[in-house]
Amino acid sequence: MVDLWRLYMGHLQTVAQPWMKSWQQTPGHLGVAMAGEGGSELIDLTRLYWNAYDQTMGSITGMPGVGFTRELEEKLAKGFASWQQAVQAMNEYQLLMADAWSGVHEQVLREMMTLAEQGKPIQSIRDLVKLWTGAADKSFDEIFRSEKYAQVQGAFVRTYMEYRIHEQQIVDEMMKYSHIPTRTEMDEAHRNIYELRREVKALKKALRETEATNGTGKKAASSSSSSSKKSTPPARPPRRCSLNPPPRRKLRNKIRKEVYPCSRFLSPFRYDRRTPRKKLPN
Amino acid sequence: MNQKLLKGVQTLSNLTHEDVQVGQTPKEAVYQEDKLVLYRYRRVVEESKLFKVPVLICYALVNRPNVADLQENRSLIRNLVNLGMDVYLMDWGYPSRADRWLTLDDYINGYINNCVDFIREQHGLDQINLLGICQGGSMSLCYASIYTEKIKNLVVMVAPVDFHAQGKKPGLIPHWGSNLDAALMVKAMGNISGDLMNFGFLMLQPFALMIQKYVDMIDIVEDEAQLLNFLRMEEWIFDSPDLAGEAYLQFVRDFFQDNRLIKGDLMIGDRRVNLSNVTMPVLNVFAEKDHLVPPPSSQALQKYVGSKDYTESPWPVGHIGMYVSRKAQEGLAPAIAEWLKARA
Repeated sequence: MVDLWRLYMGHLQTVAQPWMKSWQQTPGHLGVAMAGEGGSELIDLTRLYWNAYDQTMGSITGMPGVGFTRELEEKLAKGFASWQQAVQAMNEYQLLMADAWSGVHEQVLREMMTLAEQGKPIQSIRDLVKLWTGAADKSFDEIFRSEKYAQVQGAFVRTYMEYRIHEQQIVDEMMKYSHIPTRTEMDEAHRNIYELRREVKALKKALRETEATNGTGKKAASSSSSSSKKSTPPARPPRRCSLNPPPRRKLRNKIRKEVYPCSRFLSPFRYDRRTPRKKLPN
Repeated sequence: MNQKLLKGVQTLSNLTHEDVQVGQTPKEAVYQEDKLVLYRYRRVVEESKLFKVPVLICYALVNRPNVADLQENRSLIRNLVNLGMDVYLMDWGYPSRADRWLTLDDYINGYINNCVDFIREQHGLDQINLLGICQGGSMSLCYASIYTEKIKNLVVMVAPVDFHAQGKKPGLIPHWGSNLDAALMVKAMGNISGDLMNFGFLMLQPFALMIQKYVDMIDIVEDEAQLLNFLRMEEWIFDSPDLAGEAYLQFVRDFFQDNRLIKGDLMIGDRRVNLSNVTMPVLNVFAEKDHLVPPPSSQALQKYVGSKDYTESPWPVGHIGMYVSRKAQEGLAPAIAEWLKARA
């Protein structure tokens, strides 16, 4: 019983210690922040609490799951952890922005005093707005150019993007049993269409070149230029680069051998090997 | 001020969305491939005064090309057409999630090359003139270095070349970009949203661009013509297509981060880009007050380009001023036309 009590107390201490440590350090950070250090100090302060969270409750989300739902649980836990990191990064970004805002007020007051000293006081709301926006841009520009801002902004974007990726995985998992295609499935389909479109274009180009070489089709631009030069071509409807009527079998086979020796490139069923190969229409 | 506001509300209520149209210079679609549409502008001068070699305009993937044809009296394209040029424009369209896998190879070796071939075939010419604007200028340089034989003259406008070159004040975009994981962004979002890009641009001067601009609008809100100018610019700024994920990733990684365009080891598909291959005449137009593409970034072209006929044309305006400022309106198109005429 005593051992169990000691174990319990020991564990409680492990959990409480990081929080106690952060509380102890809080007044110091707050004091520096109030003395005018601003956002950077407040960022350090919030980091203290996030570290305490990571060392205590945060470790729960990192625990491996068991049983039938372990895969889903793991995705949810990772999603939650990435959301937590994104929130932390967003807080840091907002603190930095708050720092910039406090700089705006200082800048506005300073400029108003300078104008008053010069005998040119602000006389209308529009003048005040102009002065205020100018001062605000100056103050923000100073922050925007700092290394700190680039790091904090980069971390915010990175963590938010990681969260979006985890979020998509969870949504994909949830939608698996519905009748709605998921983002991942759509991406896969789009990629297949894109690659097929590229192949079709390459084949059409090869066909045109073969036709031009054999003298069966339109001459290529370069060869036609030496003949009749036209400076004003007649108006014609937009030419669509869509599928032309299929080539004759003989010519197509020639291209297949010469340009794409691997004939599977010609098959629209390339991506589904289970589908029996069908004859291409003439 | 209250009276101004009231009159302004009245002026606004008399306008409709149709009044705020951009890109109104008459044109017709002559070629289409996927979402790309190639437009040809209707010629307004007689046959004998027409430039023999057409000009193909390659605009950036960010924002729409309408800024080059904002309205009748603020239109680089209209000015070029009025000077007798046969102008074509590639409109990239609005990439959707299905276009997430499009690469710079598809844009440069695919779309641009097909448009160039189409125009060459239509005109029976071996070479045409290429005018690249902003990011489209960088892409045009890539194209001209790969397909040297197809380009007669190359004009690049406010085009970044050395992506690590800094202006008097270091740019914020490269500074922020140094800590951004572009690959992760593409993995998470697929395409990069145009709104996100726009928000990034607004954050360069958040208060001037999101507050002061609209306070200043009060001054012009009574005047319908000026108000329409303002609204057309608004239309262009916020009409932002998404960026195809793979193309964005390659641009950020190879151009912004690794600065490969000037190193000679940039690969577009299986083709290497080497600026020393750009041997045709080159006109480099840049804005001296450009906060997005600092002048040294554009001017670096002189050092790397292989052309012996290289001309620089600096303009005392900003990045957007290059398209819409009075100075540019009066002089830019004639300067381009004159330069091309001398090399016809």
